Amino acid sequence: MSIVNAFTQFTTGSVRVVTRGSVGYFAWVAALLALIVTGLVAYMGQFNEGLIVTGMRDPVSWGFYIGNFTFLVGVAAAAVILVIPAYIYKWKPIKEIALFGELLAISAIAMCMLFVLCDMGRPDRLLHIMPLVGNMNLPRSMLAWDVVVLNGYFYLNLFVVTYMLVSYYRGREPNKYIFTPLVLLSIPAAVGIHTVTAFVYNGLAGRPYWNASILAPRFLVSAFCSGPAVMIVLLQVLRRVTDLEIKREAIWKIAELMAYAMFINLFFLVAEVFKEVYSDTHHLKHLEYLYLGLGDKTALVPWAWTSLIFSVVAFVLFLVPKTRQNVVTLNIGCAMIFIGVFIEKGIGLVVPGYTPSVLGEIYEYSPSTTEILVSAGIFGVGALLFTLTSRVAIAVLRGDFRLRTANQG
Amino acid sequence: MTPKFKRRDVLGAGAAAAGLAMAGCGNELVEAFIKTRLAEMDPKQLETYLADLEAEYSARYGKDVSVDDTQARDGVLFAYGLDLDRCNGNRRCVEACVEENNQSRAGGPSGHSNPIEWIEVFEIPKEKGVDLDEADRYFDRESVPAPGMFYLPVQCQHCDNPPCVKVCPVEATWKEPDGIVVIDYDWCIGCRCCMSACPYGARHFNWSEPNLPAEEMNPNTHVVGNRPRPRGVVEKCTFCIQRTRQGKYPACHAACPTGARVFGNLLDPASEVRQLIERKRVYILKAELNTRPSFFYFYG
Amino acid sequence: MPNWFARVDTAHIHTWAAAAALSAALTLLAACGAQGHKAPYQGALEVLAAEITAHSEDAFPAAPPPFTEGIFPCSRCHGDAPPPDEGEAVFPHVAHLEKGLECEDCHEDDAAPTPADAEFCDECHEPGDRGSERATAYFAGLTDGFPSRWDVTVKSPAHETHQEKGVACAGCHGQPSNAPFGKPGAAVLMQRCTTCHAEREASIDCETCHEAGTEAPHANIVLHHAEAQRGCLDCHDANDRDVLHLANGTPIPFEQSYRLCGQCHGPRLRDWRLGIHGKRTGTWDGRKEYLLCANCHNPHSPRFPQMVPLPPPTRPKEVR
Repeated sequence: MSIVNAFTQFTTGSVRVVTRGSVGYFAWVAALLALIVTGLVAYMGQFNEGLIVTGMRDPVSWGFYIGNFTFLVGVAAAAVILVIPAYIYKWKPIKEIALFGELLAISAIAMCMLFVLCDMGRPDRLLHIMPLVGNMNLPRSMLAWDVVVLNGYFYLNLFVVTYMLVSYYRGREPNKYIFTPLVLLSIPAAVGIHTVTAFVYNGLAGRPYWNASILAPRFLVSAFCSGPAVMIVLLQVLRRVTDLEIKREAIWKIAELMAYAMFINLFFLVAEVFKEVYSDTHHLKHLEYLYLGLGDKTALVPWAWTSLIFSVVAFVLFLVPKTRQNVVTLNIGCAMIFIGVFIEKGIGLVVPGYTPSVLGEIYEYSPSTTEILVSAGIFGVGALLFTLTSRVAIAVLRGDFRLRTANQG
Repeated sequence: MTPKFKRRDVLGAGAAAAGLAMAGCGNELVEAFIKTRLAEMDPKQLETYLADLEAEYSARYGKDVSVDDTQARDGVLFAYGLDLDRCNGNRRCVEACVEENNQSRAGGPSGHSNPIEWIEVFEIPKEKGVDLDEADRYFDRESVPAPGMFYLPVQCQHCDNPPCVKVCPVEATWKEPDGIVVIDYDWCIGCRCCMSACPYGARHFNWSEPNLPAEEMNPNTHVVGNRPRPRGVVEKCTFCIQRTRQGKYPACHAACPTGARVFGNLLDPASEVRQLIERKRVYILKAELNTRPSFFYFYG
Repeated sequence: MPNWFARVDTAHIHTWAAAAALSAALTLLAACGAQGHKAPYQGALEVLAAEITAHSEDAFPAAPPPFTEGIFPCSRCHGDAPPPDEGEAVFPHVAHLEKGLECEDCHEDDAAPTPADAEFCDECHEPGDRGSERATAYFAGLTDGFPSRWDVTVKSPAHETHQEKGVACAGCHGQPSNAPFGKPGAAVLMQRCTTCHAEREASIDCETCHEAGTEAPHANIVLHHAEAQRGCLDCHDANDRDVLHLANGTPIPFEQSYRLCGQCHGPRLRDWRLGIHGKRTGTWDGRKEYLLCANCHNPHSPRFPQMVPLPPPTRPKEVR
């Protein structure tokens, strides 16, 4: 039978798969839909009134949206990079790890794009920035590059995932001559999206907090903590619901690697803090604002310390074999790392870069209700996307969802 | 500013599809989707475009609004000088700028208040030198200059190496041949990358619908200058392009009661600004960033 | 007696003769005040805000600016305006003269009329009725403390009498743009009053213009201009109060006061000539106008006055 035909059946079949399930599944999907609708309503308000309904103002012109975007780029990148250790250590379900990593990446990139869209002052001019139809300022603009690589990464992963799933669905092993090069390509692409995203900030010489060459490396290693944290939780779930053979050692190994990544992340942080504190220039003010506050402007201080403490504690939990092999402490560690990196990127990266502003103004930004609701809605979209695609993927992997050749004809 | 490729051809094909898809969303949205970039318009398109803008603004503000597109003159490179010894922080320049350039005023029918000022005047203790971390832009005094203080107005520096232009993902902002950095308000997508890139805080965003009362609207406008801006785009000082390309001085220069402001053609050896650079020592804001501003502070 | 009469530093006096002349003059001035200023005098205390037009440094104001003679030279013969030919499209001369324009503004050197320069018209005729940019700048709220005229107290001028005699507003007030810190109603150079009065054989007695029995006309002059080293006659001419004089005794008209100021403030004068110091208006690529030193600095107390700043910008927290 033709691939087109199989694909059509796969699509219609997928719809059937995701529309059937337990009460718990539907409750979860309904909750996500409620979240999405709330976000959509909040966004309609923003669309009608303008970005005035956010907490952003001229001195802090990017905020929670772009912070979340940056964080999720990291998640998208790291999920796929996990393929490397999977390959090196010959973890058994390497294809499955790659598959779910890419599914996570697709959901994360979709969220990234939505966050960028919501941050645009003129979402109606979206086409202006789209590759081919728009007018991209290449090669000069890092943001234009970011759009290119994010789009490329999105479609690359989408293709790989679809190809793999359709192959399994047809009862065949994916052709390794198609599959392997694409997965291998997606690894540098993953590094690429996060590096280019870091460069968007990094290239702004007027913002010393971002204009540090350690920024891109820090982006990568912190992503190497947050992305796998999601994957660890996910692999445990997969072990439960599928008969996939996922070795516990593989999960422990990921945790161990996360500990190393977290160590490098903390080391980079120390290097950065040392440089600023010891040289004691005006550039120190941004770090000061983050960790100590400037005068009575201390909104970020509790967040910053939470992030730091969570990161350090998670590092210890993952470093000590006993705690990383314990299911409870392992998952606590994952949660702490996820939250720690989320704060670090979502809040601690963007806002202090603007505080004080280039002209010394200290405007204390905090996300407005609209921003929080819209962001929650976007996370809802991502979670829903991932839930639905994973459901299809699990069904395929378990063999529940297969092309029935007997019915054909 | 020559078109790099025939994007419109590509767009043209997509436009039909987009147009159909958007048919239910009203004409404005369709227009926004298929609009041509100012820099790519042929003379005929430009003429229609300007006429449409004039008609739209004239109707909206109830007066005869002109939107011109006077081009840069050959042999002209604008530069600005500002005497830190003379400036006394009276903020007349700010007011004149707002009135001349149709900036958004506080309050307004939208229920929001998003006043925009392109010039910020800083008060700094004399012993601190030009240290913006010690600067206060919100000084509110009975009279100026205050003892022990000096004043530093900051506006777009019209850099020769503008970081804002570099980062714009859609080429909605560029540097004109006479040195003025301008924005195509109908192409800007409002990503605010340029605001992050500008080391001088010169770029401002229309967070809400700008509030420009009809009676205060200045009808002499330039297409990349002081014409009314829509919500959701970035704007900034244009050296009063609508005035300076006609030979006039910028509004801030004309309004300054202390004579602290100097403006002219850098390529004319007799111009005030050229003489200033030759005779005085100038100070460039954040020179270490290599933005190469066209704005020279000096101590007269 | 104000302290600036006490000349402590004699090193700056060039000759004993000058010193003697000064003493005599000061005595005269003092006497004048003491006697209720009965004696007519032709001193000039105010500096007229004169407009100087030049295209380059070469054309720098050597030629006297329009008000030199204290009265419109053309209007002496022509009346308010040249008579138009029958049926000819007429330029509204009277309206413009009443607004303070002078004949030379459009007709160079008393020559045949040249078509009015559109650029020049734009100076005042800004669309949208925004007023002249110069007027806007100059009249824009300076502090109340700024002297509306430098020092002199004058009776309320008899506007009607002057108008009946054919003296246009600008005859006394100058063009609006010429009076940077003069609010409308500010009197101008007294020289102008006395010259005109003399020509028309009007009285030049003190009481004609100044309230009898009031304080000495100079009593409110406070000298804050290197007062320990300087007195009135360092700048004002002892013999002819209608002129100033340089240190070498060369008399100069008030309109060239910058030459006098430049004797001490040489670098400033140089900067001013180049357009680096002082306010310039007009156009950046052609016709430039600039103000004299005394247009911005009270020569008796030259420190630039304090101003009331306009309100501060809105804080981002209040943008909502």
